[in-house]
Amino acid sequence: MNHLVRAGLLLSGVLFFVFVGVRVIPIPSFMADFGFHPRKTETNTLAWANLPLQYAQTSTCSSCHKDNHALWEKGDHKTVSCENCHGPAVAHLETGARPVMDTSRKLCSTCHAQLAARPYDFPQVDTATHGGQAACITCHNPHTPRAGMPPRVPHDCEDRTNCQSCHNPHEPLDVVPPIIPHTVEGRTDCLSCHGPQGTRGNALPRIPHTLEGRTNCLLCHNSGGLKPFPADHAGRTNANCLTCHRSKEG
Amino acid sequence: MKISRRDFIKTGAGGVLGGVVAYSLPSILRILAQPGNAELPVSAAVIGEPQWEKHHWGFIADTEKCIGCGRCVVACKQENKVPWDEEYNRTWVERYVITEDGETLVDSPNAGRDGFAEATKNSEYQNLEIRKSFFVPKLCNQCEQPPCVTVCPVGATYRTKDGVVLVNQEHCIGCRYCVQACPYGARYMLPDAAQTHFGQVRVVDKCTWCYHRIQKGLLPACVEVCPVGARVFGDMRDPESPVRKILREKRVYVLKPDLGTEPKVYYVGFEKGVH
Amino acid sequence: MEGFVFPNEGIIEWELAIVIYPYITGLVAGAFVVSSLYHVFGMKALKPVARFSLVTALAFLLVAPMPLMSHLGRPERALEIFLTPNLNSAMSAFGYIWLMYLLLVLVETWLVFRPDIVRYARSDDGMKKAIYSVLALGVYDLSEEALAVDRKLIKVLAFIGIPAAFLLHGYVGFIFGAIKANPWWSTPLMPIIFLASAIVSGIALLIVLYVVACKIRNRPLDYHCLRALALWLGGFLSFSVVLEGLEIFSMLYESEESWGIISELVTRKISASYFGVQFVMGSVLPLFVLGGSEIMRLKEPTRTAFSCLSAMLILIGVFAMRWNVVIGGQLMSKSLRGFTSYDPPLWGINGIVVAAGFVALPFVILAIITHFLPPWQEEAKSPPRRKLSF
Repeated sequence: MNHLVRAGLLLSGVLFFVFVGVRVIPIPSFMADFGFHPRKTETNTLAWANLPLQYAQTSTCSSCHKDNHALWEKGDHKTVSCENCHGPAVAHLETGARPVMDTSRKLCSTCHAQLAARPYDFPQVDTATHGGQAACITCHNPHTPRAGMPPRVPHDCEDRTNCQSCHNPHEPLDVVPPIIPHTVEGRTDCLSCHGPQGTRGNALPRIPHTLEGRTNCLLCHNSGGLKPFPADHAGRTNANCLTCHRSKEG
Repeated sequence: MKISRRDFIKTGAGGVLGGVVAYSLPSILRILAQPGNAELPVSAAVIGEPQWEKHHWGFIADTEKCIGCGRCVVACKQENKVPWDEEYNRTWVERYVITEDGETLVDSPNAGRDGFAEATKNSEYQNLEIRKSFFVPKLCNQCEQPPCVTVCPVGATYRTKDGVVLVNQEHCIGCRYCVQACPYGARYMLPDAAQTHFGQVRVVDKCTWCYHRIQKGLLPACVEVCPVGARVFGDMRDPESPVRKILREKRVYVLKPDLGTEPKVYYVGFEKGVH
Repeated sequence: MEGFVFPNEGIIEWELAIVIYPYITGLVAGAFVVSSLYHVFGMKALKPVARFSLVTALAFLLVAPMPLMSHLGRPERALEIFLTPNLNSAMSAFGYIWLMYLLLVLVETWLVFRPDIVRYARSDDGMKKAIYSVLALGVYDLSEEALAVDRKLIKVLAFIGIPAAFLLHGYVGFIFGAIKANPWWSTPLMPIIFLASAIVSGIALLIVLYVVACKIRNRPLDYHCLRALALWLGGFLSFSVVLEGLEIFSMLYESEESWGIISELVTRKISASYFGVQFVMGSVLPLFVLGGSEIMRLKEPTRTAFSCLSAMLILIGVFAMRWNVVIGGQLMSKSLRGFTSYDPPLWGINGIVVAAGFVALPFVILAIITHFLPPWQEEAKSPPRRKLSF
């Protein structure tokens, strides 16, 4: 048996060199930091826990941007965090860099384009026709997107089309469904303005008269005209009107 | 040549001892050179004394609320420096379309990063008789019995005491066995061009439920930006947490429960065929 | 890409190198079993290839971890698998099993060749003397007593080597079989399937190598030995085919949720390599050829030609089997709703050229080993021909 002892020793030496020598010499020292699994996980967990932030949170934004926050927290976008649209805020906090705001229709349509997979009661529009191709922010203030719009129908219309069979302007006030608080003036298509949430978002007031070929709206509706447009419409031109407001002709 | 047993043991023991010393030398030098916690990255809010045992995190994904805007995917990629390409995702959104014939179609264009409004499938789906359609947000389930942790040959991926599965990217050898073992496709290997927080490439990366955020009392980035509350995050140890509240109110389901991984992402509004 | 795959599945993670790796370990296990059939079970007919199969196993064993290493994301951390193992992982055992097996084969080879080494070391050629003196490791004792110890040790090592070979390759199968996330892999049959096909491929390799080596050395073939090898090949091949067939048949019969995607995988995505190469060309056809040449009592050298042809077909078939498992399993999405695609690149670390290099390397090593340690034992007269039986 003795003739094998020397060979055995040599083999152990080679093994020792491979497993200890080779590892210590050519493998950089940062690799030597690991003990047997899982001794060192806490160091790594702490390293993960201390990674820098990119996104802050809405309460961080509101501590400075009080005006917009006040609008936002009462509006329909109150569930949408600031950084959803404005992007991560930590760089802005640290360096003051202004985040670049995407104001395109594309950004709004990521949420509001009509898709079969979206919940039916989520407000969606047909982006091909809704508001022409005007930027959404022409009409909607993104912080309070439905401000100035007629109120929504609070219930599901199902297949009913004749709103005035219940909401009759001539009925006394104590009838259960609320009466229409404004004059009807022959309008029958209530849903053109009062879209039920989700089925129709196009709820801008229609032009209450026929156009009969007129194209220069501002002739009557300019500020100081016969019936001036609302103050927040300042700066819009004749070209814009018909993208939102449909006439009585259709 | 003759060697006595005694000599043999003496030589062997000497060799082993020498090996142990040589083996630990780099670590010893390192400790001497850099006292303190120099390996921790500098951050505005450093967690000094973590209280890992006090939390056990949970996550709700509500398929009845999700609108498929994909803002969660964008936020995740920015918060965690995930490569922008579609093959690398810590979270993504799938769209399910079930036709009246019972056929189930699924798509996730660019992992849902750009939303679904302009997806090419929209026109194909137009001509189908759709029975129902919905979005499913996906992310790491932080399984209670994670198969990825079991298979890691070097123990580089592990479960923290508060129930999150992390990867020690300075230890990972890049064998990708864990990628194969994850039934949910939640893992990926960082490409050479990746520029992540740890500066490691060709190692495995995965969702951490924004471990650095939740340790500081913030929500994960995807939960923070979700506009409809389809993603809810909270501490399962806290009876008042929103996750516990939903678990009380709703019936929930998990992905691939038959595999026994015990996922901690609970799905509201589940449908047959969602894997 | 077809149907729906999870976004992260767009990249095939385990590429050609991971197909090569179980192929090479399989050849090791098979070759070692042949050498043990002689050294342990005294299959005298296999004596002409006994030492040759041992060095073949050694040559392939040395190469086995190389494709794995090259495929790691961080090869410089490869040794962590020894130093910080997670013993729950099927893969962490690889290093230890491989190392143990390497030691075993190295020691056995050294013991088997020791008399030759000592003889060469005592020659007067300076260069030759130097080389063999190193190989002798300072042991020159060739007394009958020492050789008896050697022989005993060889037998013990060869005996331990069989379960070790089974462990080495069975565990490769287990790496795949234990992945519950992948229904194409997840079956307890997987280690046995890998083992059976490994032995088949190892024996087939030896048949081809033995015939080629004899042609190169211009020596007569030992037909008796070849016939024994062909019979063992046929036996293990039928076992292997039955197992592989059983696997797919039980999947079909049980028709679980995953069957929909698996049936598409085997009938459409990998139908050529699965039914065409693995089953028909690599299993059924060789089985008929091997069985036919035995039944029809073909004369030599026709019979040898047919055995050799079968062996080559089997080698291709087993490679296809590795491909179908490793790549096939990754082609189908874990969403069970679609397929990704994979075409190996020609160049690059994961390309066909490098993979071909890994397959060619053991042959180079084998040539070097057989140059320094000729394993041929022509002086031993082959025993008289007699009827073989299992």
